[in-house]
Amino acid sequence: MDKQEYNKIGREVVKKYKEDILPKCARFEEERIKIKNRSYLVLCLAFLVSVMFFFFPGLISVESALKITLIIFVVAFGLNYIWAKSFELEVKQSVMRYFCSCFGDLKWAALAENIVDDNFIAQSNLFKTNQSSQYDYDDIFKGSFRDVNFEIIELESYTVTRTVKGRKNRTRQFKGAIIKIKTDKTFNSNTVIRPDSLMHFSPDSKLKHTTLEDVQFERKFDVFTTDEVEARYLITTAFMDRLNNLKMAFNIDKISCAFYNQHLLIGLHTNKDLFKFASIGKSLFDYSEFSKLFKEIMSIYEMIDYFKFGEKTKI
Amino acid sequence: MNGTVLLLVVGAVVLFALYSIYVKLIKTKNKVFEALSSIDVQLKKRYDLIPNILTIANKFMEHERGLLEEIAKLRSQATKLGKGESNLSQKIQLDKMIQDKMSQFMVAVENYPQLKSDQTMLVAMQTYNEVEEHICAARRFYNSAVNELNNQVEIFPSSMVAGMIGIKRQPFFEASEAERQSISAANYLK
Repeated sequence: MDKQEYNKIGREVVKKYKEDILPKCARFEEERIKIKNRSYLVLCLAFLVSVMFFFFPGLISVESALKITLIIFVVAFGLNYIWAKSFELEVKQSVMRYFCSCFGDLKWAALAENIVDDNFIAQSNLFKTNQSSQYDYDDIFKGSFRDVNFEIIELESYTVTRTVKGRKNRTRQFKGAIIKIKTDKTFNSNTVIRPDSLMHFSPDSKLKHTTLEDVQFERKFDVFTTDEVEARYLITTAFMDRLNNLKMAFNIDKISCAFYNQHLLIGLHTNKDLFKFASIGKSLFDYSEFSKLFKEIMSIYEMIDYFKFGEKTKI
Repeated sequence: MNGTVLLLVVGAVVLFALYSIYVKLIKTKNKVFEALSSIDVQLKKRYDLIPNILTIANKFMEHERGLLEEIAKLRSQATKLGKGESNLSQKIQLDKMIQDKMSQFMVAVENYPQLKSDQTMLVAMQTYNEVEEHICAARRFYNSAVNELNNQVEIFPSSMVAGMIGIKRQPFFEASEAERQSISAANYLK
């Protein structure tokens, strides 16, 4: 994608943001300020009540005072947390689809309407899973660019085991988002790129570790594949650049990638809520959150453009 | 007794080490053959695609018959060569000649707007470009496998075992002198 096209899409998106999104944010901005003020008030009250016990020591014992202070602060922070989360969810449900409409047919899909194939994700070897892996899903986006369909799925994968004493032990395998791009091109192999490890253990017996020529890339990633020729065809220096751009656009530390069964899957490993754009502390008129979302979507568009996934070839 | 046992253990360890080196060498050698074979597979795709491209082009490129016939002739020679190591240098030579001719063909297509915009031709050209990229990837795989083998053939102690079983250095896929020359735009803009 050249700079001209990038800027053209950018201008259209900004225009829609100013005409459609900003007016809708005005109502929520007032509500945000009210909730923010309310939160400060509750905290101040909690502080004052706590301080009172220490100014009047005769009222109750120090031990009781400390306990009550702790309870008051827990309740205050708890209330603030609930108000903040309710507000974020309300804004997301109301405004997110308008945000997405700035990017053509990008849709924020509700979980009930879209069932993600857990087996597919496990078979791609994008990250470590096993038969007892469970998945919790959050935001799901669906869109298309140049007739190529893609999805962005926020999820957490984990296993639950029981200790000898009967306690449940939850082990996280993956947290973050998966970008799933469907392609018309045929991938005969399963090629997996994972963050570099010392021993290069293969995620699957069919996948062999392969060493590419780019030394810098080799230092950061392990590449496993069932077809070394196709792995080298797919993983070029231009692809490595775009993968790096994607990583920077989403501002994450670890990224993995898998080519499997007509799909390119990119795993963004992070504990952050990637698509949270409303918070009590930040104005809804702050363009930086929208700008972040724009860069994230554009990095996906660049990946689709680079691979020319929309082209049907006879290979 | 203790001395005998120690000697046996040391002997077993040395034998095991030699056997491991032998196995690794054989695996690496087979990987080179696998890589060579993968180049053959990609070249076959190219040779299968060329007649389709020439058939489409034939309808439009009346003045380039000579070039089309040359490409067809080279393609025919290449498909007659057997697989494997024995024809490697001949294969490389023919591959380069076909590549050169196809590059000339791609440039010639630019002079025929009707051909350039033909949908079938567009798909064929896209597919051809993908095949070329696959061939490039296959060569990189071959060079990587050869690099690994040559390292083992030249570095002690695997060099000793390689010498015993007759495994030798293999050549890399290299660009010709002409390909290494820098391109001057003046040659094209006349």
